[in-house]
Amino acid sequence: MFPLRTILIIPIMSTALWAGQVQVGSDYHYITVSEGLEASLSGDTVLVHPGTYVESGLIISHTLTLLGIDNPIIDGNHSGEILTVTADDVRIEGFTFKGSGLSHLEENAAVRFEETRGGRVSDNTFEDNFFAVYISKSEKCIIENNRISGLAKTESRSGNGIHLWYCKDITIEENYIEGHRDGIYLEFVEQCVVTHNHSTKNLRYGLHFMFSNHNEYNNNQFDKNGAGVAVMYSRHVDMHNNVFADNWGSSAYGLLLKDIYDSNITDNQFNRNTVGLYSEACNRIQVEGNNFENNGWAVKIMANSMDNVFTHNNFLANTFDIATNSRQNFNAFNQNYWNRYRGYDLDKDGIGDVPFRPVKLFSLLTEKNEPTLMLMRSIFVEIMDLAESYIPILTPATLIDAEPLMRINP
Amino acid sequence: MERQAVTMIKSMAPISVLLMTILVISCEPAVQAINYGKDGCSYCRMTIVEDLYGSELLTTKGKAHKFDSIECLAAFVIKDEVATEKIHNLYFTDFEEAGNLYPLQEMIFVQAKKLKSPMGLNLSAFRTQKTADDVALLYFGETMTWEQVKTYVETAWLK
Repeated sequence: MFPLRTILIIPIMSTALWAGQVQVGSDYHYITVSEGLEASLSGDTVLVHPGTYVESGLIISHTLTLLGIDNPIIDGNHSGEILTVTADDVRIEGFTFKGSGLSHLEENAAVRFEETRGGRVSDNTFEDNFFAVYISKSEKCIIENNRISGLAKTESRSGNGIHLWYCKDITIEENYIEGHRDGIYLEFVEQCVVTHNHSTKNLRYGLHFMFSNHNEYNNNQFDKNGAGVAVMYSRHVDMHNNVFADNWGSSAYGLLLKDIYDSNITDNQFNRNTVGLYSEACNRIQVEGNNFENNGWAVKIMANSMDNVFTHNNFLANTFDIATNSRQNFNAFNQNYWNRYRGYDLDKDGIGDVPFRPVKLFSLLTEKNEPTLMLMRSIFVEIMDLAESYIPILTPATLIDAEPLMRINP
Repeated sequence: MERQAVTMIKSMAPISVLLMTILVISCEPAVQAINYGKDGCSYCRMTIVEDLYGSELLTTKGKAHKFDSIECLAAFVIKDEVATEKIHNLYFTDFEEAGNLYPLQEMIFVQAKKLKSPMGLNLSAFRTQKTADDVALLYFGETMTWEQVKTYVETAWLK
């Protein structure tokens, strides 16, 4: 179909320089992007030459490639949505999109894909948008190598950087995102891969899953967000090789888990967070090979979490290693390295001969009554913790690592 | 309130009465402003960021539980996280006047599938019946009483 159509069209359309190409720019026939899009046919490439185009409400309703040459700017001038895509296999590459409209009734985005397949958004810059990239009811799309920055420093009415709603099979790769509400937000999303992104300085979360099963995120960096990552009401989420760092504040967590089942958390770094990993009502999660370093609380695991397994993790220089809110414990801790462990290894098999109790009595008290944190460094608390560690009465009797490692996991 | 207390202090000489007054004033639970971007939701643990949906439960002792959405507060109440007799009142943001909290008795709720709330049940609150009706009409929803909101949250979330 394609060659035949272009052969027919070339003589007719004198404005098209090449078969299947539409040129947009001040020196070309089409001066605005919207004119260029209107003149294009399915399968065309719309080439946009350098310049600033103050346009919004652009619509792509047939398959095409929208290609920016030397980074042209499309400025939405804060009115409505900038670009809406309703066709399959649309590619958008090489632009700066700025100033999508801010409304609390409409979720306006710089680029929105609505009920499409096979779209691709790559190598763009997004600045000062309400939502930057919004993918709705779509599948098999790729969002890669974009630089997304919002202005949500303290502004509570800000949208998300990359927002997925009812999507399937989407790849989010190598993006840099800052200054939005959530850097990346996924709601009702399946089979997505979020990899090699850096999400930082967002108001709420670097990455946020809601009601999204069978997803994976790996090799990302989440730092200085309101809280690093929140995974909520989801199953089968694979989380590995990520960095969760520098999330400080009263409700700040490196990784916040709520109502999560059958997932893996492996080989991640949790550094300098108020709470490294917080788990509430989570079941059957394998937590393995992670590094918890310099956190206020490395792990807070609420009593309604069950059948979770912590093994081969390193706990280094945290104020509290494990905190919980009950004497009950239905989780297993095995063969972790605890820098606070003071046991011995007479048979030299690398495993401590006496079990380690990671829950301090004091951490249990602070969990029930936060103001007691004031007593943190007092001698009374030290004595209490010491006494409790020899004869446990209040701390969970079954929350022990029976085989603490003598040497740090590599 | 402060000025009232000062005039009271001036007019009432006996120190015992004065002490009583101060006690009564300080015991009356007062609504606490939500610190958006900092405070966490008492139900879902998320940081509260959207000032259109912030809600609060105040206990008789004056402890404030803050929520990022109406549905979280409803679920918290349904689950009896604070016993009914210990609840002083519930407070909601008027969608038209973000940032301020108003008592339950003044609110009309709207559930509209085209008006998304933070936790996905799409509930918002208004103080004027007309606005609530308009929004319900415009965003394909319906107005609800607090009892209806609780029933809805219970069936949608808690089964």
